[in-house]
Amino acid sequence: MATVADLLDLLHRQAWELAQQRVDAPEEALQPHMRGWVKVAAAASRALAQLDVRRDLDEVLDQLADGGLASPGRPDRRLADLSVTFGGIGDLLAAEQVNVELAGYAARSRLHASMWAALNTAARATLAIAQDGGGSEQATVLATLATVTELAALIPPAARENLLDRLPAASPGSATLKGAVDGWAAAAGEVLTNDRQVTGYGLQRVAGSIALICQVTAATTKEAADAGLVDPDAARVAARALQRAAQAWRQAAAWPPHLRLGGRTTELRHASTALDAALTGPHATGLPERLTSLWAAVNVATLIGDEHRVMTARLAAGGGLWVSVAALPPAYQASHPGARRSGWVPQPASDTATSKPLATAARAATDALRNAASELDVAVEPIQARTASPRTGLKAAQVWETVTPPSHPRAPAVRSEAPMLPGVAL
Amino acid sequence: MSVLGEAFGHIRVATSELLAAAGADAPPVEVGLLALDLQEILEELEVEPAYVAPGLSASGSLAAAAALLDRDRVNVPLGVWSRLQALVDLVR
Repeated sequence: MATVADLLDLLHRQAWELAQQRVDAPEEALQPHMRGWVKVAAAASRALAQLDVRRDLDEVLDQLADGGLASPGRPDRRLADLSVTFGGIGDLLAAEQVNVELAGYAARSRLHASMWAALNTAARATLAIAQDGGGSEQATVLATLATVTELAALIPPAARENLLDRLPAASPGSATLKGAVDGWAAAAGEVLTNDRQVTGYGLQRVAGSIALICQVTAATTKEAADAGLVDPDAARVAARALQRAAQAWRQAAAWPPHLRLGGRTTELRHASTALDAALTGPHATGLPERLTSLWAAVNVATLIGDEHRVMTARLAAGGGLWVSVAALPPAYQASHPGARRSGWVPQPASDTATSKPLATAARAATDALRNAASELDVAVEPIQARTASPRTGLKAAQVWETVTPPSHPRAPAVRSEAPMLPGVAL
Repeated sequence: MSVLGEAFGHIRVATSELLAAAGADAPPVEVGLLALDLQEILEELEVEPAYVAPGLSASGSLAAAAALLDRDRVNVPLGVWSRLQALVDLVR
């Protein structure tokens, strides 16, 4: 199962091989390269846009992607390979839009810098060919690309590592935690946003599954602190908040027996069972990857929890649930002689006092989960800085710092393609 | 009301008790989820639950459901029976 980090490794390796390529006839190599850049620019532009960090390259990438600098024919194979890898990263980020947004600017800017570094290496390779092969127009565009991305290529790889690197590519329902979470979220979303599909089981089971996600994440966060992967104080705070959220969602899952909303929710039952197994079964990955996957699961649960809260509030406000006739006041039975005491009837709008606690519990659980997710963000963020890097072998990666450049009133105006990095100014 | 419906009613009470439990002695949430899934299976079998007023403990409610099904085994789907027995053992 490929992760963002795996794809970035491949991307950098491909860019490196492109730069090492020996070119005997630059005049002949230039057009295949420019045709390759049509694909690379389009795929890179899409992947970078998912991160919403900086748009400095939009114009130059658009210029390369529109094909005006290339003639028809076959693209250079190495650049075509690069474009496929950029495409894979773009697909993965698109599928992880929620977690990408929640990861924060620092993580997104580091990933952004990793992609810029690859673009820089590739641009320099083609720039040399353009300069030697008489392609002045192409050389100008590629020089701009190389200049803008220059500083990103100078950042040590360890300082570019970030939480998003560990996001795996998996399809919903696959036998991974991420696959199980995706499958569960899809089934839960169907049930929670459709008045015709929602059932009492659906609402209760979603709440119970969120409780289990929080409970397992709390235990794993403590385990990570014991292993020295995360700050113990931040982990303790996060674990406590997650345990509170787990208890709150457990309460939201507990409905009184006199209320129900029948119907079949088979798909959600299967997806929930798969999620249970992925959460509590044998671990297929190491502790850092598992904690990252659980962090992502908590983020997904936060969104699903909101949908749960909205649907529960609507149903509990009146008319959506069914109530046991036996649990209704005697006055109801007296005024409805046809109602069997052993039966169930739509909850009268005048008798919602017993269903309102469901909405209250769902709101409390949602608030507790939002708080826990925030605390978990704090605890998980430094994981890359504290663990041995699988790619670089470093014991401690550099920690990024945002530095404000000094003010130089008489300095010349900075051009838009000036080599400033997202999140850092050197 | 059918025997399955009566048993369903007891299982609903047990589920509510299991999930609402708090504190160090509370059973794991997974047990409550197993009980919920059994409820859903009964829904899928189109069994209408009887209303059973709360009062018994989770283990008492599950034992009551098991006793009901035990009296009518020929009409009880094996999957329902085995899941209920597993819950009885977990909550005992």
